[in-house]
Amino acid sequence: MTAQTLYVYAIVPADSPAPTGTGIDGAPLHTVNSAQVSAVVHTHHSGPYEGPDEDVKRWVLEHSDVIEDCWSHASSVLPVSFNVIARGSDDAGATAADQLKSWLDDAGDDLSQRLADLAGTSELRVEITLSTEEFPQHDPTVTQLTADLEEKPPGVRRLLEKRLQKVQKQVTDAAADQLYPEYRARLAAQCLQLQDYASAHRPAGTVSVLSAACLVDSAHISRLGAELTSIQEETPSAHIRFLGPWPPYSFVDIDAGVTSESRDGAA
Amino acid sequence: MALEVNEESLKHGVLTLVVTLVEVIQEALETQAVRRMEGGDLTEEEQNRLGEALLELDEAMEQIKADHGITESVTDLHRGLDEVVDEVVDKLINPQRWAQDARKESP
Repeated sequence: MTAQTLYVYAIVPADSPAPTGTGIDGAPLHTVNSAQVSAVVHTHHSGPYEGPDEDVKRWVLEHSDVIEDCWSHASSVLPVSFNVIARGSDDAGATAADQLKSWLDDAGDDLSQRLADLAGTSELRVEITLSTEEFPQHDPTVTQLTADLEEKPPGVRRLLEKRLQKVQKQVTDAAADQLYPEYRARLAAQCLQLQDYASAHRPAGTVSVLSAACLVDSAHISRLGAELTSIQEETPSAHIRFLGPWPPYSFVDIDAGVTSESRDGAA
Repeated sequence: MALEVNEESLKHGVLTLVVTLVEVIQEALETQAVRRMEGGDLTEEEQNRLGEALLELDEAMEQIKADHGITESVTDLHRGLDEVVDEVVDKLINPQRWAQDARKESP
């Protein structure tokens, strides 16, 4: 294996300004250029980053800082996943930079097309949940059960509380299923693209209505915000998280000839 | 290679597992009890007896967790198990997820 490798952060258009900050562990950044696109990289001397969770968390944050920096200076950016390393080929006598450049040349059309598609866009994440306690408080069964609880002995109350939780969950689940298509359509109308994702963390006592990554025109982020405000006004017990804006991480969606096999070998 | 076992951490781990499993069984019992209550199979006196037994169990479990300092580890393990079950159920009721997963795994 060739000792010197290149750790890749992002792909940017060829005419982008040079990266300003530093990369993981303060590594100086530079670019590998092809006619159409450039890869933002640092010269790397070891294998993939591995270690204790705390270290990995710091590295991932430093990696995404570089992407955010590129995003704020270049017209567009294709973020590359953490731990993507280009290495040379002893057989072909090519250095890591040669290998990466040849990939950039080969995939240049696809990459620059995708960069053009994503220019001036941002990713925002929307998570809408309903609290199982707050949302169904006016449901007749829930009101009746809550009233019944008051006058029962402790043992019966213990079971009734369980039943109440079950009914609250059922009512909220049904409402979430009903609201999902409507909310999704309303948000999609304000986005260039919308992609559902499974939320990694759902607090106890809540039901998820929708978790979506939204690709929006950066100039029109407030339109999505306004739609969320009106959803909030209509359903005051809905909890809405609105995160971002970020580089369009979820919408890079490009194969560009990189299969898992060639990714091991080249980029 | 000899396996080094820290006795205190082993006790902590086993106790966490046992208490978490008892909590899971208790939840299954509660679900069954509520189902019977909804079906009208239990008189109010039977409901009260069953509920009181559950209350005593709640108290005993809280005491064990506090005495052994495992409240947090039980919560974590319980949450972990819930997530595994959620994921399995989600896959079973949404067959389209299989296709998505298969696509993700293929190059």
